[in-house]
Amino acid sequence: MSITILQRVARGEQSAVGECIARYGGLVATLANRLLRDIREVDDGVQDVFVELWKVAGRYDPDRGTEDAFVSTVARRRLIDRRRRNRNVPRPTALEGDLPAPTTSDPLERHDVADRLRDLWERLDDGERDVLDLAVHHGMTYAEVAETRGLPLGTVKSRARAGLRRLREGLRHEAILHGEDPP
Amino acid sequence: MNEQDRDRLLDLLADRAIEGLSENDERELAELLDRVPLEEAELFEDVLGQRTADSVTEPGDLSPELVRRITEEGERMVGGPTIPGPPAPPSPARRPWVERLSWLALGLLLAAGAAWWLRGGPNVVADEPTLAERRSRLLDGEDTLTRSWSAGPTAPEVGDDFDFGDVVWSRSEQEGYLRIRGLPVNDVTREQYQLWIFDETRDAAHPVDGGVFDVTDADGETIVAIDPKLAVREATLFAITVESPGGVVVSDRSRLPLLAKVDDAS
Repeated sequence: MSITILQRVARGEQSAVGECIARYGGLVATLANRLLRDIREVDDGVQDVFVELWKVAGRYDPDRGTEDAFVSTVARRRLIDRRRRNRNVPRPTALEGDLPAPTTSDPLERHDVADRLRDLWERLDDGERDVLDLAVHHGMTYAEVAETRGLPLGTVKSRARAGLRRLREGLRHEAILHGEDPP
Repeated sequence: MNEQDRDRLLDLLADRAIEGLSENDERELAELLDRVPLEEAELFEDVLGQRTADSVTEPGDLSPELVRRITEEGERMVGGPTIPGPPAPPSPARRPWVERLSWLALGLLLAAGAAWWLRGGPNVVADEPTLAERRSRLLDGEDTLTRSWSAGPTAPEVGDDFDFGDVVWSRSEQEGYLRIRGLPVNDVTREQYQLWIFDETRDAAHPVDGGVFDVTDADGETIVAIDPKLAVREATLFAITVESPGGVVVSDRSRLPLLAKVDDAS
């Protein structure tokens, strides 16, 4: 397997920095716009994410998922932390249009875990999938999902938690079936 | 772990992945994970990360100014300055005239009692400095720091004031030395000591490997040259663990006899 951009960053290759920004800057910018409430924070939020990526690039494990998934995971965590620190800024919860269907990734980047997750996601209960889709596509908190869907907060939490547990069990089951170590 | 704790643990992990946790919930999660480590503690975050990556169909744009800022910062944090290698010991002097002589000619010279030959030529073989001497020279460096070792979680049982030695490190030279006292002699067929250097600019889960070494004299002092595998930009902590021969890529830190914190000036 060829060495990835993050693996090159972890090795200290400065030439990988520009490539990483070119490749993932747009992804991180989109997530910052989804998750941060204050538009003025977006640029700082993006920069924050990349600082974290430079530090944790060595933790990327190609066997656990795609590189863009790793970047998204790091970005979500940093941006959610940033959002919690500035939680007083309200955010409109109106949705515009339908949730976009997730893209099937570039075949060259297709990854077993990603494919399995896609299938498992589609097999979630409608309520579970809806809550998780709002969290992912719109960066909504539990309270925001509850307000958007007119549901009790407890119901939203239960559906999200149940959905994630179902995905976890599904991934473990699939891994065992394929003779792999379960995640 | 009982079923109730397990349910609570999974709930907290799910909540952390969706919207983050309050300080109280973070503390509770840390306590639960301490009691029963969960290998896939990050699975929910990984799942949402993967789904998020799939969901971005039209990536946004970064302004040129933002790209410039992030790039400059990245190039400072990644790679860093060119690592100067540890000072090479002075080369033995060359005696070009020796190489021109045939063995026969050499024999003739010796037979003729060429005492002048034995006095040596214009160059003299320099004695290679010892580790102690190299350490002493480094102490005078402008940015050299020296920190005493303190007892780690698995330190040998000695008096409170025991002097375990110290670590000397120069960022500009990327050179350093450990002075170790009080550690037991290791059986090299079963274990070795390994140095780790925690760097402020790197993930704490992956400290820089500073090399492996042996202690051969339990009552004396061992001096070891630090052998960093990567550039160390801002050292914050030095730690010595006990590992299998040859060392490891990632230590479980279960045997950690000595620590030296950089911000504890000593």
